[in-house]
Amino acid sequence: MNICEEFKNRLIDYVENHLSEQEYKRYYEHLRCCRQCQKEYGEVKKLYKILDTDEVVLPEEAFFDDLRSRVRREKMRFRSSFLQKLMRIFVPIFAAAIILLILSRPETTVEIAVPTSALIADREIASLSLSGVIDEELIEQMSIVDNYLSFEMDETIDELTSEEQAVLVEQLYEKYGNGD
Amino acid sequence: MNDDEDILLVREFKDGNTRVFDRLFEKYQVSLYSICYRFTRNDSDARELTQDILIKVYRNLKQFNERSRFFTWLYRIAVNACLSFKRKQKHHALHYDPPPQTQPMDERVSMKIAIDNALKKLPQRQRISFILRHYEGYTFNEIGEIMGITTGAAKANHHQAVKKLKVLLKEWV
Repeated sequence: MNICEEFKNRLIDYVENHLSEQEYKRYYEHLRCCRQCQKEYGEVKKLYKILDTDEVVLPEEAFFDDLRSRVRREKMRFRSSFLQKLMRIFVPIFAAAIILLILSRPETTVEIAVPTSALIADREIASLSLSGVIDEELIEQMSIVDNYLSFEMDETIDELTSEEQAVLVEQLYEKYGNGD
Repeated sequence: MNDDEDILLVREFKDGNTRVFDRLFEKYQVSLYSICYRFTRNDSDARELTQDILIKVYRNLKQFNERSRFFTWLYRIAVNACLSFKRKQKHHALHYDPPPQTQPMDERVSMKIAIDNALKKLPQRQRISFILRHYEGYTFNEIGEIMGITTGAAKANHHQAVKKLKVLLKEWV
């Protein structure tokens, strides 16, 4: 390979300054006396100069601000989709557990003539000791479900006097118990 | 902010402080947009692509395992997004003829159009190598890491790109 071909192959490295000092000197000396290589070199230099004029006009600052809030919204969507996945796993488990609770009630349990959802909503039932009205085991299991669902316990029940609690128990009994 | 700082921010993010993502966002937003613009040669595509990349980065940040430098990992996502974005565009590509020119164009404008057309004609991987090398200033070793190719292949892509650009822009050279 003659030096012109060699230089042609290394021309980009020469322009981008990727040669050893020794190589650089060798091609530099060659370039001084070779018109053809000077022409090649000049063209690549000019090409780089033209390409350097290609400036990117950045979007307005509002674009990046808006983009940042879109990514933040994505964060929230991403989090909620994660919660949705969790819900998809746990909701059937809860439903199955509740059905099992109902089916496995002992014979002595008082009939409750209300939907299960209403029973769960009335969290006082789980927090009151309704001995003889509702089965103890059911109350305990309901409390577990209640805690698992992370409902806040209604502390106002504890603040009631024993007479007020008795009235509440009677009302609950009338509302949910069928009197068996 | 160097790569060590990036890694610290990523660790903080993994520990649950997702607010630190904003700092990474601010650091790389301009560079990512520039790469996307230079790749697509279109502002609207570049905006869309930048958004896709940043969302993808956010979603996958917890999977960053520190086996590579952070910017390498980030730009790899960007490069893959660029390559698949173009594929998507090709799929829906419509033929477009620019409107006929009634007045002579400003030289700078016509040069910009020539550069646009020349860069668009480069094969995608050569275009990416050229953008990362020429405009972003990465070494061939870094470009190889970003693109998942050898340093030699990155250099060859870049050299091929320069040679093609020289032909495509011969009227200007």
